[in-house]
Amino acid sequence: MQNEKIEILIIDDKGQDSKKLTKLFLESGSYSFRITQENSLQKAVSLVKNRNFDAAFLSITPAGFNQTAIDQLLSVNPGLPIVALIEPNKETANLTLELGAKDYLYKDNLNTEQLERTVRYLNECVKTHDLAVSESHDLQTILDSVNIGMLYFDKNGLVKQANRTAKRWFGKAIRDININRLGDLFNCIYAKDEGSCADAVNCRKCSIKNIGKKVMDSKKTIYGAEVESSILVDLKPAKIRFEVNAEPMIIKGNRNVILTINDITKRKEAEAILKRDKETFEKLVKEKSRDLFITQIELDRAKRLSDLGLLSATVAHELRNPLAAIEMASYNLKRKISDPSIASHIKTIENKVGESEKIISNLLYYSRIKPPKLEKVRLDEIVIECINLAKKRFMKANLEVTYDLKQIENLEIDIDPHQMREVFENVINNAFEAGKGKEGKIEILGRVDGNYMEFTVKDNGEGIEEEILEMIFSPFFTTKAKGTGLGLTVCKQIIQLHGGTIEITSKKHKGTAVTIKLPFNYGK
Amino acid sequence: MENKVLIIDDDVELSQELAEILKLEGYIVETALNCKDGKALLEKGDFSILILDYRLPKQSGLDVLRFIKEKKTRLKTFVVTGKPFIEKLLKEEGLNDIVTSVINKPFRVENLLSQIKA
Repeated sequence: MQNEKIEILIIDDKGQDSKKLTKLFLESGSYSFRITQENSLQKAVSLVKNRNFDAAFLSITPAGFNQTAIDQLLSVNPGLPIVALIEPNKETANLTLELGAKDYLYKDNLNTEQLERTVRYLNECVKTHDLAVSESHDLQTILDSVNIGMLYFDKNGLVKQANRTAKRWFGKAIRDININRLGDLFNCIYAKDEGSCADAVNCRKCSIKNIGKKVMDSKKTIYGAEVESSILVDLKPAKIRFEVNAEPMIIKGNRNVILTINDITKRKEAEAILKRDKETFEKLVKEKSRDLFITQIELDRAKRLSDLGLLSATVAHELRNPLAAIEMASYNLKRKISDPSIASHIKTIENKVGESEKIISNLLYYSRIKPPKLEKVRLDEIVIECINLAKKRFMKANLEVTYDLKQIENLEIDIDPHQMREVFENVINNAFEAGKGKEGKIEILGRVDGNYMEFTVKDNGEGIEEEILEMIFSPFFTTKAKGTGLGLTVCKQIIQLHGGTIEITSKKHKGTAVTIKLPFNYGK
Repeated sequence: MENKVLIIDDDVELSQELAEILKLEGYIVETALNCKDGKALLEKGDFSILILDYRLPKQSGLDVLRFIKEKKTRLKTFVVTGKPFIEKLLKEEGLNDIVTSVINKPFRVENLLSQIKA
């Protein structure tokens, strides 16, 4: 400023003050001034717009004081220091300062020294202003660079400033948005249903509608309000979920609000996926735990059975030697003693040796069940053989036996014929046993059910009690006086080894039905 | 000799009962309680019939069968056993051709006698 001429603009519609002022400026020994005089405000504004003045002196007369003059000049150059030349009046002085003048001078008391002092003060003002502008610019650059939308609302609830991200998201909508109608700014998808955010009185999902008022009233920051927005991003419509934080900023008693806005769409998506995955995993873990639990129970059971089987087999083997000796001893007794009263006892010994032998055979069979050797076999033939065998065995009983195996005639199925014969012998034998002693009816039905061959063996016997039915497949469980309790256990095990199922339903006094299902192609 | 029988079984009572049955049937019977004694008797005597327990102490009846096969001793051999399904094992060992029959314990005496006499 010292080295160059200081550019001064004097605005004075009468011209008297400007002449006087020019004279005083030119008398200055410290500074060198270039003075421009202008008597029209209009022209002065356009001059300020086009030229860089270091200061403007505005002459104000009480009669024709245009209160917008300062504002008009500042609107074209906000940094221009303006000094008001006024009649000595404290009120006018204060008014000019309020309107934006940096200083005022009383017209009746002008001198060169005072002007020089004013110029020095103005110079300081300019420096401060430049610094402020520069700092504000830096700050704006920083705010523009963040990927967070920022909106600064003034006391009237209008947007005073917005950073680049906010502008990119909301574009022109920022200009005339009111903080109490934020739903319109965001184009909230819920507000849209109601026409506009202000009309959406019952918009319960909204957490931003009154956010401005809440912040101003409480003077506390509100974090994490969420809004579903439907806006254009890079000219493409996009659904975005925003998180809005509102911070109160009180300046000179005015309640302003700063909104910071985050795009949390991706975060929400990730959260949803995580939640879904978590639920899926939980479900999976639950299922697997249950499976594991069931497997554990089955394994325990199998282990118990296998231990039991091993024990049974060992005991059975060990018993065979002494039984053989008993058998031979009784034979020798029989030959040496011809007393008929003793002969009946010897007969008992022989019978019991025979029974023991039978029990041992059953036990050994149970403990030796092996994976089936599958062959393609006509099962209806085996079933008929088993029926005929049972008929022979129960010849004396008054039984009516019917069977219908037409559906499965000529159909081959993958089974181990020896094992399956054992199953049907057992099941059919049980039915005959149940029916004997009264007018028993045995019905056997074979049919095709999808990929399965299904057999039902029904009797009209006494039926089985519920609590016995539950135990019926358990090893060594029997209601027969002479049974080993292994018949149905063996049946079930064989059927399971064939990939099939066996079920027993029964009604007391009505009879029992056994249903066996076997897959046709278990070997594949 | 046509009617000379050797019983190899570790069950003393069983051997005695069986020996008595066979003696009454007119056979000359000798008994051994283990493989070693059994083999020694086989080497000396001219038995026509052997009744062999499959499971013997220390060595199984298989050892006696191998001995017979090796010595090409000619006699009817009956293996008596409490262990079922040993036929398969005999086949695997290549001993099935020297065994006349496998008889499961306990057996009906009449059944054994009819097989021996056959």
